[in-house]
Amino acid sequence: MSRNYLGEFEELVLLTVAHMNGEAYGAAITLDIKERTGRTVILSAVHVALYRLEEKGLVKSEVGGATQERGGRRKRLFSIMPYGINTLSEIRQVREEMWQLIPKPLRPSAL
Amino acid sequence: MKHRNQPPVWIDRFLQWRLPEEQFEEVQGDMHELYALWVSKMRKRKANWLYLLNALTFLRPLPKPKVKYPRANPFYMTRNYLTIAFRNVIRHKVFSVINVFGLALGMSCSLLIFLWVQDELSYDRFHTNGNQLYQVMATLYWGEVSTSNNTPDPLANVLKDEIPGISKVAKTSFQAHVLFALGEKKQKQKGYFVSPEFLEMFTFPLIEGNTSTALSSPDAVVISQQVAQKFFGQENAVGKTIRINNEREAKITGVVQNLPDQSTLQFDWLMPYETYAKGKDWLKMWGMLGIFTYVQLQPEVSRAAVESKIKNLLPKHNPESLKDELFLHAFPDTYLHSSFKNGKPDGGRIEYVQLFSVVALLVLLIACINFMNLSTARAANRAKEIGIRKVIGAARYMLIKQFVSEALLLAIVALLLSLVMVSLFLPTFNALTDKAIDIPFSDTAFIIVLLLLTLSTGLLAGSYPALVLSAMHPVKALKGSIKLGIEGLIVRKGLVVFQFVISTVLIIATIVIFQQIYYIQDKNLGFDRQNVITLPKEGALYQHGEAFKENLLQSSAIQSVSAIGANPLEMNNTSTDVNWPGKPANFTVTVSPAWVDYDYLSTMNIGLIRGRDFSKNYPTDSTAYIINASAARLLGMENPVGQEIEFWKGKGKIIGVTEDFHIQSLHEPIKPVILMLSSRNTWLLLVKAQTEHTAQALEHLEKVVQKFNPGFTFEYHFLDETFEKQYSSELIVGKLAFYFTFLTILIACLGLFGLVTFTAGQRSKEIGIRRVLGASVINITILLSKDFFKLVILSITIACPLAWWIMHIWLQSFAYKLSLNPMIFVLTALTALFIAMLTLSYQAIKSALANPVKSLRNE
Repeated sequence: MSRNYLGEFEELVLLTVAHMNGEAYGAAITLDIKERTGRTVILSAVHVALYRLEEKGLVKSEVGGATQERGGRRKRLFSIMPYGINTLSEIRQVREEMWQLIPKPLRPSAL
Repeated sequence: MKHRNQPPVWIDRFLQWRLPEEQFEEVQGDMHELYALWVSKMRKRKANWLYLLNALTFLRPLPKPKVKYPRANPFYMTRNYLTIAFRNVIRHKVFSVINVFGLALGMSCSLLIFLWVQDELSYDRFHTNGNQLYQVMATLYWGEVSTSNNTPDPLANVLKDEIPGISKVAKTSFQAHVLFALGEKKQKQKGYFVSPEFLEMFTFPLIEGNTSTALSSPDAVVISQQVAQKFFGQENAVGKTIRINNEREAKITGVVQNLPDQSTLQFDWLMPYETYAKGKDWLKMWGMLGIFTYVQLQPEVSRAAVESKIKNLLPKHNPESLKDELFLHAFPDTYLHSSFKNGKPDGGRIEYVQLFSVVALLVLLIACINFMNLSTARAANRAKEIGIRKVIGAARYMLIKQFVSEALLLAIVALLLSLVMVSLFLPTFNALTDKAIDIPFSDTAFIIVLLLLTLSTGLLAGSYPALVLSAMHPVKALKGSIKLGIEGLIVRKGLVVFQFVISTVLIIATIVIFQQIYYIQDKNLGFDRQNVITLPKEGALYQHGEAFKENLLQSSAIQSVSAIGANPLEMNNTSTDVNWPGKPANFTVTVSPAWVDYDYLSTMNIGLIRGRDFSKNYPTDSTAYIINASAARLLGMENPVGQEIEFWKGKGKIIGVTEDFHIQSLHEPIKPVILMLSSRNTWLLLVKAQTEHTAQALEHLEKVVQKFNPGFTFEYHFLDETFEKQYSSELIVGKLAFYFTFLTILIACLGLFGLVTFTAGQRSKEIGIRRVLGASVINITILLSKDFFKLVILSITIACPLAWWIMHIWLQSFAYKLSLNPMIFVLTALTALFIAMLTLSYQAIKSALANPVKSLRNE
């Protein structure tokens, strides 16, 4: 199975794209991350992460959806690719395995 | 969107500048969305600050979502370009040869003219004091305004003693010819009698002898290296003596290095001025403008300052010279700027230099444009290649690079070819222009100019096709339906018309010039210049003139002998001294006087209208005058014979009136002439030989001359040869026009050829269809030629009036000229049409014969 090194921030962005299900774009992702994790992320960081993800083939993008609130400007919508889902689940699996290895007393209630 | 909650515009603009277009739209959209949210949650200032922060982070280079073109490997690409260029040339051999040849022709022409101009500009530049050297000249108001470089002898000392700002003055005689003899070796040499300062002022370095003392003793002579070698071989010449004019000995005090060709002062010897002036009281008068005066100004002194002081020196010392003014003419300007009109500098040879420089540039420009046209005309053939290159991924700049380098390659080949052409043509060119120009391969400035020339030609000529070809739409190119732009077509048609106009004008000019030259040669001058031998009255010929004449007449081959005190073809002496009863007050007349010997009229075969020639039977003839018809008219006399006038011989009677005869070139009208008898004042012998017996006459003449003047070289000229030489500059202009005509016709045909090829290529499908539908070859040929026929007619209509006007102006400089014959224009028009048709027909017929299948295949 192909191993792709995914940065922590990139993984975050990828997860957000996955759950937004085709409606993910720069500003929305920035706000979502801020909401869920409290981290104030810079827009350009998100953009860069998205481009890198696309280069690696984990997401695909298409242009569309000009809305009034953007003043008629189109936005680039990102959606997750199967490869992206696989990568995420791989990562999750590795984390899970390693988590299981931690002795019980240190673990909080079972996940 | 609420307008007051817009983010700062300048930040947006900044983003727009930094980001690529597609990215900017998305980014700006996101930024605005976030801003809208921030503004609702915090103060506007904080929101702006956040906006700015976010915007600044976009400064780093973001990986762009699109893939960039990889840079092509330059080495392999260049090799490919060269290979393709080479193959292209080979495939269209005829075409490429014509193209390169046309460019080479243009380059050669420009190169030749450039070399000529350089040579002209370099005259007299070798004098180290050049900037401070001036020749004193005079504006004379004798009836009409004229400018002369003849000055009076006493002027020099006045300048030296009285005028501040002048550091040196040199007196120089008119060019003199003397006979040098050493043992058996004899030769006539030309030179000047000069003040000793001459050698200090002008840069003529002495390879033997001392500059400051060389001209101090009266019998000194400085000779040129050439003369020294001729008489003394390899030995030192200084200290040796040489015999002058069979009269006296002169001592060589210096040998001057051979003079460069680019010097207006040319001499074989220099002798002290005082030796010439001794005893000549007439020379030392203020009214006698008989020598040249050169001055060297002190450094930092301005010409204007000195001029204001010398301006009125002539009237000051000579009451008869009322308004005449002196001025200074910069010596380095002598060669190119010596033409004066009404007392003001009016160009001179510099006009030719400027004219030819412009011509050189024009020719080069036209050659480049032709090259451009021809290259573009072939573009359709390469459409497929260009289409494929674009599809594979060539960027536009790469295609431009390819075509420019192809053009550069051809330009380099053209340069080499033109160097060969110039080398081959140089001897003829030098003979034509009387120069010794060489290609200065070793001069770095020249090499740089050459390289620049090639580079600019290649770039210029290659730029247009490169830009046009690289803009082809790949799909259209591959499909075969490429149609090159028509905007350039009007320009190109205009250019062809322009080229043909020039060619036609030149053809007419050449014909007219040669016609005028033949007219001159045939025109009746009023005297007979055939079979007249001229020789200077030297030595015993002068002292024993009568005896000499008698001896000559003993031969039956010699018809008549006389003498004159002027050059019969160039009598420039003028005077206003004539007076006669009934002359209106304040009426200034200028006449041309000449001293003649007995039998002048019969020797020159000048007809007498009234009266008689000077004759020994009438001793009063020593104060008599003979005038010509123009003079009679000027004096207002109906019956001049017997009337008394007052002139250089005092009061005397007019004994004869002759028919008008020319005393100068046909540029000048016939002047009023007064002839006076004086054997003493004549210096040129005229010997008229019987026709068919010229050789005999010469033989006898030589024998008699040797008898009287043993030890003198026998030098003579034929009057008709001297006559031809007067019009040598016209002949040169004629020859140049002839060569130029050829050149421009060639170039014009090339231009036309290119245009026709281009249009024929564009219309190949149309021609194919016409052929299929039944048009014959002739129909097609006529169809194609029709348009260009109209262009040529247009050129001819423009050219004829233009040529008429130009030739009219040129002919004005001749007082006696041919009138312009309309036949010339008709003939030229037909010739131009014929040449154009030849050029057209090749391409037209080729297109008409093309297989329609080939052109219609890709529809």
